[in-house]
Amino acid sequence: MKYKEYHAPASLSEAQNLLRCAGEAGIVIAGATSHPFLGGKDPRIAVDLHRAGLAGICPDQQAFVIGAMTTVAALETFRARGWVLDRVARRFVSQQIRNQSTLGGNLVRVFPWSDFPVALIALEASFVIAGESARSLNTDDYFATQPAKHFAIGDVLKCIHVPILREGQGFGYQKITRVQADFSQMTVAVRLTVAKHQVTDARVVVGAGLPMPTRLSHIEEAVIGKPATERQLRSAAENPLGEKRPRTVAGMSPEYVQQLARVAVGDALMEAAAEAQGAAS
Amino acid sequence: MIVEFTLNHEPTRAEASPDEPLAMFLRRLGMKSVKVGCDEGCCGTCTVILDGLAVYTCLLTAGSVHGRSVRTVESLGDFKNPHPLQALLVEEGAVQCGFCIPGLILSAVAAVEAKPDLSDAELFANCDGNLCRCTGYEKIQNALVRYRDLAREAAS
Repeated sequence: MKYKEYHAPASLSEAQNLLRCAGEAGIVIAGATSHPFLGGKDPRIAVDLHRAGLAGICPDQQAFVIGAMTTVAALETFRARGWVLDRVARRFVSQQIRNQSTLGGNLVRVFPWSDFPVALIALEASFVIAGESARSLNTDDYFATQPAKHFAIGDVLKCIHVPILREGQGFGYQKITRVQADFSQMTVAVRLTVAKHQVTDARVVVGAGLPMPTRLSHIEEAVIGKPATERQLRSAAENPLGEKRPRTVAGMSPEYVQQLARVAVGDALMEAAAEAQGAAS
Repeated sequence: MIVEFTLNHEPTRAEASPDEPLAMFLRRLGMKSVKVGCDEGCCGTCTVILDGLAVYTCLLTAGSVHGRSVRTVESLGDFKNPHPLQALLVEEGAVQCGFCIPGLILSAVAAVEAKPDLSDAELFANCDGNLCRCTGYEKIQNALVRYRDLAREAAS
């Protein structure tokens, strides 16, 4: 991508002013890892947010508040009770990319293989956008469309609220790649709530195997109210993508994608159920 | 645009175009250890240490280092006075064409400087964004482990 100007403002308000002045030519730089792949022949006015004070992780009563410019490396090394995003970050490409890439950058321009949208839909995160006035979107609204469409000129993703995993809840995350640093072929994230060995709530999300991260409501319905046993959970994952058309790339047949999903959904359900019942950290 | 930053511990001021890739900017400033391989953030040959962290310079622009600190292999050692990891890579026979080595060294140095007692698995994970297509990885890993052990001893 060509830039005709490059700015690194020292505050969010300065960044927003620059973007408003730039109009359609403005483009936000977060980690910049996707910029070499973006098309467009007209040079843009780049506004780099790395100095704008939007990085950091702050736990409050109900949620972790994560600044949009927090790097994936920082998500990987952060530890707290009820924090699970280190498991997602650990499987994210290479150390160099984890050091550069930001959570916000992964959430504004979403690709089929994007990791964090899958996890954050499962975790029921919400998203704060700084614009003319700040507004918050819940997960289902935020990902109902390509998220970039929510942003008017001058709008910036400020922070993400990720609910703290409560007692009785577990998180499962599975990502299948050919090699560690490759794009995902199948990503699955699951949050289960279990009481007295029965599943009382479930959020099951798949990415990479479908064109965009998608909740699998038929699997959620199949596990809620049922025992959190391996037999029950694997059975629910038997037809993972239902009638949805799998995304087939790199020579993968639809049947192969279904098989990847079957294994990954089953494993993620098992991981979440084990954690919910106190068998994992 | 004018970029002011610290390059290998020296204050540096240089002109750059707004979209000049950092890798090419550094090479223009004489840092020829910074190689451009895949040019899309996969191979690791363009790795430098930016504010203590290994990053790919093919994905960043020159402007992104304004006010920050960059280290390349030129700051570590040279043929006459090699850095311990450079010497160990030679001792282990881990260098063949050598194209990947500067980036690999910087990934390992950044990781070990941040945490001298990191495990073998953590050390290798920090270097899995650096690809070698000549030697296989066993000799490289032997050198990395010996370097980590030296750093761990020095820190204790």
